Amino acid sequence: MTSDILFIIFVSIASSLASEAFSWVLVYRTDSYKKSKQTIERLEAQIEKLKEAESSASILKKGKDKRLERAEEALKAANKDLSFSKMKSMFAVAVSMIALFSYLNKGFDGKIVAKLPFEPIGFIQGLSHRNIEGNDMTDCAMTFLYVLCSMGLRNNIQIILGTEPPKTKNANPFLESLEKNK
Amino acid sequence: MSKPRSHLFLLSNAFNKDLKFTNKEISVIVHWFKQIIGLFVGILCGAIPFTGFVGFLIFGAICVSLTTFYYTKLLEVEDGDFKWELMQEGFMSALAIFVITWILVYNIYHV
Repeated sequence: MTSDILFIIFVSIASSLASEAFSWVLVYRTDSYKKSKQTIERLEAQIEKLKEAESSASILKKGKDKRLERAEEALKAANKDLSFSKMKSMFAVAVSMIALFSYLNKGFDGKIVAKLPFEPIGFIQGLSHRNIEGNDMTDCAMTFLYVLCSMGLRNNIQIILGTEPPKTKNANPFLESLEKNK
Repeated sequence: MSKPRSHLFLLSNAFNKDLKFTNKEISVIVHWFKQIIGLFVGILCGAIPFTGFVGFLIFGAICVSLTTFYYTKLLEVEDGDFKWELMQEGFMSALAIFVITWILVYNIYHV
């Protein structure tokens, strides 16, 4: 059982490294990506400064307000550019992840890979007890471990490599258009 | 603007009182603290072993109390919104790391 767990962890780490490498080839090394990332960082710093200046000044000046607004608009546009340039690599990575997952699913079909030290609650049992016979809920299927690994490890690997997506509110271009329609 | 400091540098100087950290750097430190706590509590809970809901309680209590103590008492963060942000920062991935190590160590020693 232990070897199965280690194997799944290893596969998850390897696949996230591979997908990051793939995105590097397609996106991260391109000049347009670097440029828009720099723009975003510069604009974020600028907005923070403007906001500080605004809160320290007791009287609200119209001119300052406009400058802040303009910077925020530019930030939104830059974020949009960034996520569009990432789109094609994200699509390719998603397809290969699904392929990998279905391959793993075939290999571990109906197999108990681990004993859980706890009994998962309701909706998680669907993941942890997938395709497993019997009523012992502490039996764990591959799916649950794989999901955990991609939750815990992939995010951290991206942070170590410095490629995590920026945490801004309007990073998603679709979300923004939704907000405009409101 | 000064060059961004590396995560490793930030972590090794997390308790250095001579350095001032920006908000971004504080959230990086808190993020990595949580992951490390998740790893160690996972090994601990798997080795003893704790089973059932107790394990999650222990992890939640240790993780939240230690990191909250760090940023309120040692770094003296006062902004309420930012505190709330720090509380959530990296919690889900720390939880996942905790559960993975818990399962792994438990399966090595007790199954």
